[in-house]
Amino acid sequence: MRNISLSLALTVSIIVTACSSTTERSRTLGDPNVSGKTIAQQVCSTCHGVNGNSVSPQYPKLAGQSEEYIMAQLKSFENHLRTDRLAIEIMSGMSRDISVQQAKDIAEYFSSQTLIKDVKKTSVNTSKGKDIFENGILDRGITACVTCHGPEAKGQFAYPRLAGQHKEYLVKQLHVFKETQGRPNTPMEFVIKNLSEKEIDQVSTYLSTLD
Amino acid sequence: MKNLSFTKKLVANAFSIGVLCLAWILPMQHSFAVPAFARQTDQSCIACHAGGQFPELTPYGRLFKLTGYTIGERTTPVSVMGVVGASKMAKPDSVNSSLVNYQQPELSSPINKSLSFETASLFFAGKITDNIGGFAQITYDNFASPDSSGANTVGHSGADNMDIRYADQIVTPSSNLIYGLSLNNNPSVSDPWNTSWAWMNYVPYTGGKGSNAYIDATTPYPNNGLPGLVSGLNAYAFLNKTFYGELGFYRTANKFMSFMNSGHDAAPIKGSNPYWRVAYNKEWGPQNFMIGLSGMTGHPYDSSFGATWSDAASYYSVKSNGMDFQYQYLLDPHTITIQSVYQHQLTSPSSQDVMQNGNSPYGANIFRLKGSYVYMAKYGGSLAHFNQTGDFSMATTGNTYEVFYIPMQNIRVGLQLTNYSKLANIDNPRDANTIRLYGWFSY
Repeated sequence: MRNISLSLALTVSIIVTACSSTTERSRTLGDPNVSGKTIAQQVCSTCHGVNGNSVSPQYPKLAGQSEEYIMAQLKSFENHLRTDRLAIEIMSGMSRDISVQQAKDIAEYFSSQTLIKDVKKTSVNTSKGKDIFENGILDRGITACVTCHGPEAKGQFAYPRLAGQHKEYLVKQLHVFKETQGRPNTPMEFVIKNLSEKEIDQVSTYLSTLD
Repeated sequence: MKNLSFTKKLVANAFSIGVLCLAWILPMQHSFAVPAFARQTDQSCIACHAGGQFPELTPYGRLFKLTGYTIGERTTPVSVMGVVGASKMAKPDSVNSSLVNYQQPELSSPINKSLSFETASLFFAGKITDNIGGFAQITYDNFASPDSSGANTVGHSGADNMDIRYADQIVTPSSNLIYGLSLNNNPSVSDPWNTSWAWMNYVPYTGGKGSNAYIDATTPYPNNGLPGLVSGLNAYAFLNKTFYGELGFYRTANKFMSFMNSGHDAAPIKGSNPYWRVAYNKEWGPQNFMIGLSGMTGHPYDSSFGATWSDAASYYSVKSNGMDFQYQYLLDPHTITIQSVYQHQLTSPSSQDVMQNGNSPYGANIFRLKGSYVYMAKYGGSLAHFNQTGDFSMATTGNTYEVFYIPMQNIRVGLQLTNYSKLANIDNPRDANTIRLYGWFSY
C-alpha cells in the first residue's frame, strides 16, 4: 500500500508540475511563444555560454557579435547554405524553426553581452598577425582584414567581429574558407586563398588577443 | 506549457505514462545513441556523443540529459537499433572445462560463431513536455539463454534501460542551476557522464556477445543484479556546470511499479536502498575533466544470491563505494576521451548464510580504464583495461583493443580483441582470448 501511495504521489506531482510549467524556461524549439532570450539562455548557452563567452573553442563566442551577422548566420544554417561540418551537424537543427523575431531576440541578447578574451596581448607575439590584419599582403593579393572587419576587428555591417574570438575557432574557419565551399557567398575564399598555414595562425593569434 | 492546449497536455502526459509502461523481461543491455533524440534536435550524434561513439557524452550531451532530454521539438519518439557480429574464442573447450570445475555455466554457443544477427532494440525516446522527457528501450537478444537441450540458444525480448526525467534550469547572468528528478530502473543509469556503475561495464560494449563477455559475467552484485528488478527515484542538481549531486532510493519494482521490472513480483531487495553520487566538473578550452564519488547500500534478499533456504526475510548487506573520472579533449576533428572507474564492494552475508555456511563478510575491487581516440567522427580506436580482485576467487584481468569505422552516423563497424591474463579460476585464461567483428546500425 505504501508503494502504491508513493508511486501515485510521484506520478501526480510530476503531471501537476509539468502542467504548471511556463515558457519562461522552455527548451522547446519551433514554438513562437518561447522568447528568443529564453532560447538563448536555455539552449544556445549550453555551447556558447550564458553570456556568449563559450568555453570550448569548438564553438564561437557570440558576446559582442553584431546582430546583423548573427541573424545572417542563423538564416544560413537554416537554409543549409553553410555546409561546413559542424554547421550542418549541429547548427542547422538548432536554427531550423527559429522565427525571425526569435532570431532577432537571440542576436540582440548575445550582441549586448561583453566579450571576454582568452589570452592577454602581452603573452604572445602578435606583430606579424597585426601586420597582416592592418596591411594585408598585397603582392599576393591578400586584402587587409581591417578593410571589412573594422579598425579594431569589432565588425561592421554584416562583417563579423573577430576581436577576442577563440584562436582555434578562427583558424578552423579560415581553413573552411580556404579549402572548402562550406561558407559560400563571402569574399573570404578569395581573400584567404594565398594565405599560408603559418600566416593563418599568426593573424588568428593576433585577433584573439584584441579587446 | 502555455503553448499547449489542455488536450495536448493530456495527450503529452498520457504519453509519458505510456512510456513508463514499457517493460518486460531480461537483464540490461546498454543504450547507444538514440536517433529519436537526433531527430528531436535535428543534430548529428556527435553533438551529444564524443566523436559519435557511445556512451561517452560531450558537455552538450550531458546538459541534454540533465535537462531531461527536452531540448528541441517533439517528433516521432521511436528508434530502432541492431547489431550483427561474429566472434572467435581461442580455446572454448578448455575454458568450458575450467568453468565446469569452477561450478560456473559453460560458454554459450554464440561465443564462437559466424556472422549473425545478435540483438535489436526498439526505443521510445524524446521530449514529452517542456520539462519532461526520457527514453525506454526494449531489446531483443537473439542468444538470450540456452534452450532445453543446452546445446543451442533461444532469443527473448525484454525491457532495457529506462530513464524518465523531470528537469528545470535556472539561468542568471552569474549562475546556472539544473535540477530534476529521474525515475529509472537501473542504479546510476542517470549518471550524466556515463562513467558510473551502470556504464562501467562498457570497455567497450557493442551490444550482443562482446569479446569481453566474461568481464560482465564476473562483476559482482549489485552491478548486474539490480537492473530490471528495481525502480528508483533520484533527485539531482548541477550547479554552474561544476558541482553535481544526486541522491536516490531504489525499491523492488513490484506492484504499481512492476512495469519497470522483469515482469514478476519476486522481491530482490529489502526496503529502500540509497544511491548517491557527487562530482566535480571543470571545463577549459577544448578540454574537460570530472572526478566523482558514488555509493550504494543494498539489501538483497538471499534469493538474489541463489540461496535455496526458505527464510524469505533473510537478506545480505552490500555496500558499494566508488570513484570515477573522465578527461576529454574535443576539438574537431580530434576527440579524445579517457574514462576510469574504481569500485570497492563489501558484502555481509545474511544471518541465514552465516548460520548455515559460516560465511563472513567479503570484498571485491573493480577497476576499469578506457581511452579512445576518434578522428573526424569516422575513424576510431580504443584501449581498455579491466582488473577485478576480491576475497572470492573472482580475479579477472585483461585488455580490450578496438578499432572502428563510422561511415555514416547510423552505422558503425568494429573489430575488437580481448586478452585475458586472469579469468576467475580458469587454468589458462588466455584460452578465453576472443576476437570479434561487429556491425551496428540505428535509425
